[in-house]
Amino acid sequence: MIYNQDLFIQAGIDTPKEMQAKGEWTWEEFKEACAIITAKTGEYAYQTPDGGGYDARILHNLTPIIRAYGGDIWTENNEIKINSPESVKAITLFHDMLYKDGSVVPPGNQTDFYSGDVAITMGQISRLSKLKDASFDWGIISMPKGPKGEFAIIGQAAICASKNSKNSELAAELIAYMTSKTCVERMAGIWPPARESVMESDVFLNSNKMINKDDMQNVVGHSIKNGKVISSNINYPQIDVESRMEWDKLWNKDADVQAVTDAVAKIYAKYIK
Amino acid sequence: MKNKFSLQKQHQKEALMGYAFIAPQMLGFLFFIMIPLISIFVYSIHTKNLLFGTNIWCGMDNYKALFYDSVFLKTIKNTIFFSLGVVPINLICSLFLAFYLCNNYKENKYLKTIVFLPVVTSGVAWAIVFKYILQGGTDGPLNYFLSLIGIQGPNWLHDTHTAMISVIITRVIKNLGTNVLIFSGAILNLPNSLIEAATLDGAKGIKLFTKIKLPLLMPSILMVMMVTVIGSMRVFDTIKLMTDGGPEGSTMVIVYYIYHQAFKMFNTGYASSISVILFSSVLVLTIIQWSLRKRLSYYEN
Repeated sequence: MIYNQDLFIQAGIDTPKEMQAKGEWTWEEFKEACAIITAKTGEYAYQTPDGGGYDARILHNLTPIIRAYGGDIWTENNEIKINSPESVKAITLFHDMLYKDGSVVPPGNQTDFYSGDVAITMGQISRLSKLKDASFDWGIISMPKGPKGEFAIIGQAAICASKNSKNSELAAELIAYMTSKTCVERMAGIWPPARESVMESDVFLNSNKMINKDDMQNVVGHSIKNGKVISSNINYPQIDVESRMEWDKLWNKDADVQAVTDAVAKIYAKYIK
Repeated sequence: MKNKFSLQKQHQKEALMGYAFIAPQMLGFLFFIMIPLISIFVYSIHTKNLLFGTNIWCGMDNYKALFYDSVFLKTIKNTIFFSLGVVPINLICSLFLAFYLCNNYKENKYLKTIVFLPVVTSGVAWAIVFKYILQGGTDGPLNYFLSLIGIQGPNWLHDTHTAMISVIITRVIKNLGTNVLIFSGAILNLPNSLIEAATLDGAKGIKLFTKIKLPLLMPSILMVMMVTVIGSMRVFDTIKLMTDGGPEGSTMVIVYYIYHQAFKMFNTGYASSISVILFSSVLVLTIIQWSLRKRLSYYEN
């Protein structure tokens, strides 16, 4: 998470780091802090990842909260858990932040964290490049905890070469080069790979000039080590477009979280077997 | 004999020159429109996946699957709704504006510029600006002004009731200028003698408009209608940028679904079958309008 320290101070509450030191960095306390910031400063407190938490990045936004409460989207064994009581509880927490507290940048709103108008957002360290000319004090912190612990998301991407390609060997060679030590060292500050040897290296800890060694180890490295990828499936594009029609029903004041997630689970079940 | 031969040669040379001039356009048409168009028909009877390189003949399976695809059926409904919104609003507004502008053709310089400005604006910039204007709460400029007069505006693009209408209005304002221009040209070219004769016969106001001017304008109206219908069925950028098909799929139109199937799912075969359906419907619509044109606009030379 990336936060705007000025807005926390302006609201007269502990900064995330102070909350963490006191052992208060939980989703419950996070929700409360956000409500106070909005009430005191008139600004939105939380922005979903890249503002896409209601459409393209809906799972990026909800997964860390859901997993912290013991739920999941679907598990590695393809067990659909989006409508489990734990997941519903977590989604309700976010829904309350959005509609009861009014502390989250709502759907369609263009207010942006990186221009200093929101107190905290979720993002990967590559996003820090947007803060180069920031006019406010900022910091990074690991995810808040839930009853089941702390869950971060690791960015996921895959490179594949087609089996039928004439150049599959060459492609493999390219990937080997891209993931070689020299290349990884060059990219570690923006896209650190989830490899232990990288996490523990000095090169990684000094790789991003905008983050000190401490944060690199305790926030970035820590989140990657404890993080998990988002539930994925080969049919995700189709799942995404169909489930979004149900998810969209969540984005109004009187939405029934259980009913919406039940409907979403039904669509998931069509594709995830 | 010699003379005739050289004349023939001259003709040949001229013809060759002519072909050379249209060659760039025709080659472009051939390679970027004709060949892809034919390929689409071939792809549509194959299970083709661009990513995996599969290409298996499957007959009409893609078309059969369309009937059971709830998303596709929804996109048809949405596209029809979108066209039914865009076409009449566009035609009525542009005709009205054209008449208004032609009344004082010289004095309306600034208004004319304003009406035509959106046409030369990039569609992407246009959509992004409107997305900003239409924000919910009182954060968006539109809702802010509404709140000044005591109206609480909805979250325009994220409310199933208002999303489609917002997109339609955005689109109409964007394309109004072209149609106004065509209508203005037609209105300014109305034969004065006919209007004078009608006026002498005592026709005025609404009667003059409906009985004389409108029938004379029918060819332009039908032409504009055809272009607007086709344009509205091909809407993509506005949808992609403003609503991404949402909320609840209420703005998911056919072209956007084709894009989704072809470039997100890589189901090229399936996407092609949807394209064929779209192509055929546009073709049928055009034929209907063309025959209407023959029947409705008897004043056309």
